[in-house]
Amino acid sequence: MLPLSGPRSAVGESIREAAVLPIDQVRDDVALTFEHRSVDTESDPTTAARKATSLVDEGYPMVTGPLDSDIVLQATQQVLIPYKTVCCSPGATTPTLTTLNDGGYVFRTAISDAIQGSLLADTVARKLDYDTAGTLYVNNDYGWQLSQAFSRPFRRNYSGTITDQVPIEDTSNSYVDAIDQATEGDPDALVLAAYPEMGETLFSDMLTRTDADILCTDGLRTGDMHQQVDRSLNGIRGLAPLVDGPGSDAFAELYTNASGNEPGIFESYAYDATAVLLLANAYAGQNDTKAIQNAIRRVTNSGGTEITPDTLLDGLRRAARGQSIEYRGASNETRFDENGDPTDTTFEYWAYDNSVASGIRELDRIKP
Amino acid sequence: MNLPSIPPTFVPEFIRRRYLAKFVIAILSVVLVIAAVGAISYVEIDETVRADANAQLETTAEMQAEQISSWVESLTVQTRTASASPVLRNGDPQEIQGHLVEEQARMGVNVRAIHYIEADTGNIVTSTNPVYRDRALDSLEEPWADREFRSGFDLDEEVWKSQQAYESPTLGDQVMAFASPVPDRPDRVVVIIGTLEYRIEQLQQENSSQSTVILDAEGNDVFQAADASVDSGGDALEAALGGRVTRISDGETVQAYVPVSNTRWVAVSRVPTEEAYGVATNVGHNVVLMVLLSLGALSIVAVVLGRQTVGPLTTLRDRAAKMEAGNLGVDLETDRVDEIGRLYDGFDSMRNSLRKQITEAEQARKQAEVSRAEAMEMNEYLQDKAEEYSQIMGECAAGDLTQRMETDGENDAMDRIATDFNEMIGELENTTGQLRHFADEVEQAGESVETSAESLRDASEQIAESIQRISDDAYKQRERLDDLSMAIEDIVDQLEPIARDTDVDVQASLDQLRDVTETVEELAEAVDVTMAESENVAGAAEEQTAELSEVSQRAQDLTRYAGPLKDVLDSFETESKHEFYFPTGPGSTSVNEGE
Repeated sequence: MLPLSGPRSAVGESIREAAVLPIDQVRDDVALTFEHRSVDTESDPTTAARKATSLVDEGYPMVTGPLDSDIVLQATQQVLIPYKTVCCSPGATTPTLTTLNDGGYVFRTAISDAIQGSLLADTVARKLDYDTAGTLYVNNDYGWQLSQAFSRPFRRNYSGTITDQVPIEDTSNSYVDAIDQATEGDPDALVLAAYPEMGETLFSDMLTRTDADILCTDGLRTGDMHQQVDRSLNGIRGLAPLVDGPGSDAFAELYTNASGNEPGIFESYAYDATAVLLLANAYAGQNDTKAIQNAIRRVTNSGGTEITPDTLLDGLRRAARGQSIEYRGASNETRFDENGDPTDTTFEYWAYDNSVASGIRELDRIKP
Repeated sequence: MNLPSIPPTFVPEFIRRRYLAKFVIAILSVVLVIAAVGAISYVEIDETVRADANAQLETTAEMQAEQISSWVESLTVQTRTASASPVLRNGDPQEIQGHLVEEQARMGVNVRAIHYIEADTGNIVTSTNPVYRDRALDSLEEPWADREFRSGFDLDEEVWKSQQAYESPTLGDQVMAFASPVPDRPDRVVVIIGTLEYRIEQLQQENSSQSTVILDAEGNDVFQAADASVDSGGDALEAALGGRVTRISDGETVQAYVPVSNTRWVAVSRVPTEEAYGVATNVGHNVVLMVLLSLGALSIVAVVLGRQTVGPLTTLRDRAAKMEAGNLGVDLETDRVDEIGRLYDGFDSMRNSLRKQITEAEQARKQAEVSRAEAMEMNEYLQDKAEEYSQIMGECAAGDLTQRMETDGENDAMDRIATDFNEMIGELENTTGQLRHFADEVEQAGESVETSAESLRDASEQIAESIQRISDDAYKQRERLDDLSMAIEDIVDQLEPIARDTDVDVQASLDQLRDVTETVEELAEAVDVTMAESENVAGAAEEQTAELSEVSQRAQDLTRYAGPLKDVLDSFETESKHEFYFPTGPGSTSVNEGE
């Protein structure tokens, strides 16, 4: 379940390619039958719930997706959880998902914004030594939760002051008012929780109106930004989960061969999500959702043959024989805690730099 | 089919006389028993099934009522709890929105959405549903949108709920709205949309036409389940609202009314009468069918068995009567191989056996008559023959040994008697003739022996006398010799002393004397020998004389005995050719001619 149309369709298709890549990679070489279907959430919670219902009706025991937090929350609460369908979201970063009353059916390979927010607060307060900060956040659950995830520890753990948390609409063509509101309290730093498509306008408006140090969340980490914004972005820093899983290079090669494009972070998450579900399904030896749910931890916990994206075929065979395996993915170590959230993650402290080819320079690596 | 245990007096004569009637009555009895058992079973099963079905229906209704009740209770508590959050009292919309999203995530899957409403303006401040954020209630098609929340709540803890379920515009499932005021902020209301999706599905039980609806006090369907329609039930509804489980049944359905606690609702479970009591009806049908089938089957059995037994038995009885009357030619042929067939075969073989025995008896009688005539004839013959033989034997006994019995080949035994008798008589005649002749010979020979023996005795006596005289002479001679011998010796004895004293030569004379003595003695001894021999001869002559006397005596006796024997033998008449002549005279051992 991915947004193949609607506002999020820009990333949806390439993520879908990564999500089906594990199937295409092994389906001709292993004596297992694969049935899969891609449904379009249209970036809408209600549509997503309906599409989830159709997948449930067709008997699919597991789903890669949905992508975005609010979609995941609605689709899971209204359909996937009550109908006991396993899902693994490659994009939902909302902290709410951690506390979701999900019966253990909801997993994600994406990293909770609670971690990013907490690291961001630590960076602003200790690395940059600021006392005051404001936030601009895209007016949805993602933006609000990320803003909250930064603000709470900044206040609570570092005795910082949040001047304001200002919502911005992702479809707006001017953020001047919001920026004015956010800078009213003259914060040392402004934290942006926004989408890349908002970057052009947001940065253009911002760089003309404030001197506050701008810190970005993962959504704005894209080298293309240099081309979209007239002013220099060099020096603007941010945090983002780092793709450094043991299989990241192998996956990048697979993905590039398959699609012709370089994979982004959510492509890695999508690949890992599907790979884990397949291995769990093979290990369970049946299409029973409860069995798959249990098997997810069996194929990712330590203590078995290590399987990476390039040895996925071997992993499936071993899993189908009931042998212990340990999947180590493209994005990260791909282990899950009791809430279905990934553990053992690494974040990148980065800065825009148009002098490097990618437009992004890595400043540091941070482990939560 | 026999009824041995029924005393004959209880059974009417016309039944006792007819096997068919007994047969029919037995079959009817069996059908009657089956029908009775079936009917009793039906009544029992009908009662059990109805009781079970009613109990099950009521249990279903109670379970559904319990489910709905607990669902309502759960949603009410959740709504009251959610509305009491301090964030809702103080927070700005974005904060509240985030809180609501988290709140929903923590709640169960029954919660479809949480709305935060400003009652004064009738606006939705925020919601977990992005579509509803910052919308006027009037622009929504939610049934609760027209609710006047402003004056609706007297207490902070109060929870309002929509009176009926409605179809959610977003997912199309059945939902109900629960509303509760935010404490200390009377213009704000939290509305929670709870779905009945997972409850209503349970109301319609799979693989069953049993269904449950929830009615409100007016008899309206609270959840408006698509294919569930039910009578409001009137009195039953009232009774259930009063807390009493009630059951009503019309022709087509049975319905159980159970109150839903904490509500003014009633759970009504309904099942088609056919399904509820269908088992009983089926059993009833089956019983009737069973009785009819057994009646039919037994009728067929009766007809077939009747035709197969009663008919042939009647026929057989008629045939037997004909046979009894003497007609052994009746038809007893049959192709059947069963008991009836074997009975016919039995009668047939009995008839054949009878026929054979009659024929044999006739033959035996004829044979007996012939045998008796033959026996009488033989008897007469034997009698005649016996008389004839008796006569011949009498003649033989009278001495006529020439008589012989005649054989005629008529009777082997008689012929054998005749032959043996003739042989015996022949022997006897022969022997008798020989004996008679022998007796004559003995008599003559005896007389001759007597004469010769007497002559020989006389000669022997003369010899004996002569020898006695010789012997006497020898004795006297001996005595003179002995005297001479002694005289000589005396002379010698006297001479010898003289010779020795005188020296005269006389020796030569002496020796001569001595030689004479020896000669005398030798002569004496020779006389002794002669005398002994004479005595021996005399003894022998005496013995011979004695023996001859005895022979003479014996011959005399023999002659005397042969006389009477000859007389006896002469009384037998024999053929002369059988007389026998002894070629060696009397005493010869070769007596018998045939030896």
